[in-house]
Amino acid sequence: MDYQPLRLGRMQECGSSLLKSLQNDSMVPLDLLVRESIQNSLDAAAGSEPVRLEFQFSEHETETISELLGGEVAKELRSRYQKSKNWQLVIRDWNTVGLTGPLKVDELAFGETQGNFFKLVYAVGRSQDEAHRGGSWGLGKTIYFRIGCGLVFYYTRIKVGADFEERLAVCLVEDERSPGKLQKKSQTGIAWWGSGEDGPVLETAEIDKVLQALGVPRYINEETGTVVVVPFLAEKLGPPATEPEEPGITAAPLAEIPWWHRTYSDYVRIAIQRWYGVRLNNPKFPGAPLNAAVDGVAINEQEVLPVIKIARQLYQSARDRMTGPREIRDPLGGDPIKVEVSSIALRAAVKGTTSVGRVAIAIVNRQQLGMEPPHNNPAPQTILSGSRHKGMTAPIVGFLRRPGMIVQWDDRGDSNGWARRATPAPEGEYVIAMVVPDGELPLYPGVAEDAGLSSGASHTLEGYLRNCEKADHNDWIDPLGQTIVTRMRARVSDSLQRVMPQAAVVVPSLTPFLGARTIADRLLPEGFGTDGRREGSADDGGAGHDGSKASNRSARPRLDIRRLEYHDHGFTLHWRLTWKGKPEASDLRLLVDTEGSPISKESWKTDGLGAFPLALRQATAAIVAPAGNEWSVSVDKRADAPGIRITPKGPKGAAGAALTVEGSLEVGVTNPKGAPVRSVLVVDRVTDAKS
Amino acid sequence: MTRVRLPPYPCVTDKLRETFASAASLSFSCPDGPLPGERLTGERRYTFGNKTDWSIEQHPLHVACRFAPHAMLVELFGADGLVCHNARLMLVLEWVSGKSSRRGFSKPHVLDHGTASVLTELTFSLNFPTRDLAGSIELSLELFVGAAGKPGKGEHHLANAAGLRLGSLSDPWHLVFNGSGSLFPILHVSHAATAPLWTFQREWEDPTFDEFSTDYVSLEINTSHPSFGDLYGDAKAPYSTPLFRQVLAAWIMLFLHELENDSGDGAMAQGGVTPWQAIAEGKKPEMILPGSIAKAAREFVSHGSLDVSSKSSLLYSAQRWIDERFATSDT
Repeated sequence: MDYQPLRLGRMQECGSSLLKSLQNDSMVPLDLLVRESIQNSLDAAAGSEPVRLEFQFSEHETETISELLGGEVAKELRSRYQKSKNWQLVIRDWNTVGLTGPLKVDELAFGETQGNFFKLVYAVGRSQDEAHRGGSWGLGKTIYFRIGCGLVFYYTRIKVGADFEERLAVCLVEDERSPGKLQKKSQTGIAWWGSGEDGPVLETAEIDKVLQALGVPRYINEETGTVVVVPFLAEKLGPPATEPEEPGITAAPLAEIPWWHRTYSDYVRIAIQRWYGVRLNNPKFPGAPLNAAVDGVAINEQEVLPVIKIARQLYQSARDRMTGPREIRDPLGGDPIKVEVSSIALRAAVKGTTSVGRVAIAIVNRQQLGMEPPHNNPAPQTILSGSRHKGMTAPIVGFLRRPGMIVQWDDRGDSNGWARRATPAPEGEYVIAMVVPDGELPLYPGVAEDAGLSSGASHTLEGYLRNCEKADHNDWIDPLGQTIVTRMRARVSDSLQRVMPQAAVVVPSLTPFLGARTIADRLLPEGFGTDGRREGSADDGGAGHDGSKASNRSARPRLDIRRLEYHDHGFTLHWRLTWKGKPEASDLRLLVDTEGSPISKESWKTDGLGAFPLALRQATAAIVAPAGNEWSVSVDKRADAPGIRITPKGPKGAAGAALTVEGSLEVGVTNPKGAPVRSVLVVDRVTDAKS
Repeated sequence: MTRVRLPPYPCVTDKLRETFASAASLSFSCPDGPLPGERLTGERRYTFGNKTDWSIEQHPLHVACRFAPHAMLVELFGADGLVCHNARLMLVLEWVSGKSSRRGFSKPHVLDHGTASVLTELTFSLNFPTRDLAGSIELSLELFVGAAGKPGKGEHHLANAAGLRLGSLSDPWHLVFNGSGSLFPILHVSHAATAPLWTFQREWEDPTFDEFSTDYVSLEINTSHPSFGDLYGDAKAPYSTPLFRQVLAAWIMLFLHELENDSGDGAMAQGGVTPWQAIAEGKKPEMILPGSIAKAAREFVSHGSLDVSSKSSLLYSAQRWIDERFATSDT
C-alpha cells in the first residue's frame, strides 16, 4: 500500500485537534465506540432487513501490521509494540450498503452528496445533513483513532449496478505534537495508505493480502457492508476501576463491580443493550432492526437484560401515540407492569399541535428487574447510566430521536435533570421513563430561524433536537434564545411527579374561580385567557369557515339541492344552479361515494367493479331568473358521466347576470349486494373539466 | 369543483328539522357542586362559569335534554316518512368534540309507531366527569333506525337496517368551555394555621411561552390561616377587601422581580432583547406569546403604568393602580 501523508496547509485540520473534537472525556471509550460505530452502520442500512453487526476482539502480531504499512511508521510500531501482547478490534456489518460514493477529492461534484466512503475515511470532521441520521457532526468516527494508536483499517464491499466493488484504505490520526508519534516527519499527524497518491486500494489481490494478514474474511456472494479494524488497542477503554468521588460529599455505598467490567467484550455486550436496546432484536422498530454479536456470540433475547426489555416496551408504548394508563409484559413472566403514558405539551414549539411527544413511565420492582436470585442483576442505574451507587435513585429517564439510540440515561434528579423534584421511588422500586418526541412535526413558525437551523437542515422537531446535540450526541441543549428542550424536561418532570407515589402528604389546592375571575377582570384585558364564561375565539368550533361562501366568489355556479324524492329503485333530484358572474356552461355529474374518495363511472369500470350503480333516466332544466326571454338554457344528457351539461345562452356581450336555473335529474340506483349506495353530485365548469 | 353528497335513502330534511326546532331544550347542573353558570351567547350557543365558582376543570357537568315532539314523530313511519310502518326509530343525544376526536351518546329511546303516536315527552341525559371535556363540544338529537321492519307497499326505498343514521332532529348546540375570559392564578390551599397567609409560587421555565396559569405561577392562599376571612371577604364578591389589595400589590412586585432576575444572564435573549426588556419596555413584542406569563406582566406594566425603576416605586405604583381598579369595579 502507498503511504499518503496529509501535508500542512492553510486552515489545515491536525491530528491533535481531531482527537479532541469529540468533546467527551466523561463517557467510557467503549460506550462511545459502541454508540458511534453502530450509528454509522444503521445510517447505511440497505433496506428494512435487520442490520447485523459483529464486534470481534482478537490478538495480533506487531509485525503483521508493520509489514502492511512499511516505512517509518512500521519502524516505530516495531519499536513501540514488539514486546507487548497486542489486541485488535474488528467491527463488521452486514445488510448495509457499504462505503459508497466517490473515492477521491477530484471526483466530488459540487452540491452532490459525498457518499459514505469519503465521509468516513477522508472527510473526518465533516457534518451530516440528513435529519433522520444519527450523527450530525461527523466527529463521532474520531473515536476509532482514540481507542488504539491512531491506525484504522477500512474495508468495504458495495454494489455498483449489477456488479460488486471492494475498497480498502488505512487512516492514521495521531497527535502531531507527541514525542512518541509514529510519523516523525509529519506536521499534521494525519495520513492514509491506499493506492497511488490519494485513493484507496481497489485491486482484489492487494485487498486479499491485507485482509488475510488482519484475519478478516472477505464479503462474498451478494454481501455488502463495511469492516473497521482498529489494531494496537489501548488500555483503559472500559470504566474506571473506582468511582470518582466529589470532595465533601458522602457518596452512597458502591455495589460490587459488575460482571461486564471484566473484559472488553463483556462490556460491549452490555453497552449495545444500553444504547440500542429499543432497536436491538426489535422487529417493531420503525426502520431496520439491529442484530448484534460480540466475539461470535449473538446477543439474543434470552440474554437481553429485563430492564432493557422494559425500556423497549416503554418506547413502544410512547410511540403508539395513546396516552393514559396501560400495561406491559413483565419480561420475567410475572404480573403485567403498569405504565403511564403522558403527552409532553408545549405551546408554540411545533405547528398544529401542542403535543411534541410522549413520556412512558413505569415503576418496577426488584423481581421484575431480575435483581433477586437466580438472576442477581445489578440495579438499573448501574446497567443504564453506569452509576455503581446502590440504593434509592432518582427516576431514570432515557430520551432518544428517530434513529433509536438513547441520547442519555439521566438519573440525576437535580435541577438540570429530566427527573428534577421527582421523589425517589420507595425502597426496592425503581422508576424508568422513556421520552419519545414526535420528530416529524414541523417547527412552529420562526423557531428554526431563531434556533439557527440552516436552510438545508430539516425544520422539524427532529432537526431541532439533532441540532441540540453536541458531537458526542450525549445531551440536548437548547440554542440561545430557545427553550423547547428545557420545557420538555419540565413537562416530563411534572409527569414523573404525578406518577410517583408521594411520600409527603399532598396538600390539595383548588382554584377559587369566582375570585380568580373577579381579580382578572380588574387587572387583565378582556380576552387574555381561555376561561369559558366569555365567547371563545374562532377555533372553538363556533365561527367556522363557511365553504359555500368561497364558492360564491368564484365564477362556478352555486349548487343547491332543493328536494330529493326517493322511489323504490332510485330518486329524483331537484337542483338549482346560480351563477354570480358570467354564466358558463357547466356539467352536473354523479359519482358513487366510498370510504376513500368518490368514484366516477370511468374509474368504476377501470377498477373492474362491474356495472355502475347509478344511471340517468331523465333530466330537465329551466331558467327561473332573470325573467324574460333574453337567456335560454340547453340540456345535454351525458350517459358516460352519468350526468348533464347545462349551457346557458344570453344576448351577445352580456356580462354578469344573476342567472338561476332549476331542474331535475331522475336517477336509477341498483344496490350492489344490497348495500345502500350514496351518490355524490358534482358541478364543474366545462372549462374546469377540460383542464 | 363543488360536491354535494346525497343520502342513499330519505333522511331528516331541513323542513322536518324546523318542525322540531322548538321541541328540544337543554338544561345544565352540577351534582353536589356550584351552578355551572351557563349563558346563551348566540343561537344555541352556551358559555359557562358566569358568576360562579364552577369550572370544567374542577366540577362535573350534567346535561339534560327535554324533547317534546308530541305526536309528530309518528309522521316518520310509513312510505312518506323515513322508516317502514312496522320498523322502530331510535333517538339519542349525541356529543362530539372535534378537537379531541371524541364522541358519545346518551342512553337511547326506541319507539315504534304505537309509542310514537302517544308520546308527549322524552328526556335524554349526559354526565361528564370533572376534566373530561375541554375546548367546546357540539350536542344534537340524532335519529337512527332502531330496528328493521318489513317493508310494505312503497316502502322499499326507506332505510331499513338497525343503526342506519337518519340525520339530526335538531340543529347542533355549541357548549363552549374554553372562551376568552381571564383567570388570575390564585390557589386555595389548606396549610397549618401557623403557616403564612399567602405565598408566591413560580414553576415557569420560559415566561415568554409558559401560560399565565396556576400550572406555572400562583398566588397561593392558606385557607386555614386565622386572617383568611379578612382577606377573602364577602363570598358573593370575593377578594375585594383592602387587605387583599395590599397582598396583590406585593404579589405583583414579587412576580415582576422574579421575571427581571430571570433575564439577568441573558440566556433567553432573542436578537439582543431579553424577556424583561420585552416586558418592561415593550421591545420586540413578537417574542412574547399571547396568554403567556410575560404577556400578563407586560399588561400589568403597561395598563397599570407601573414604575419598575426600583422596588419601592414598583410597590407604590402597583398599590395605586390596584386601588384604582378595585375602586372603579366597586362602583
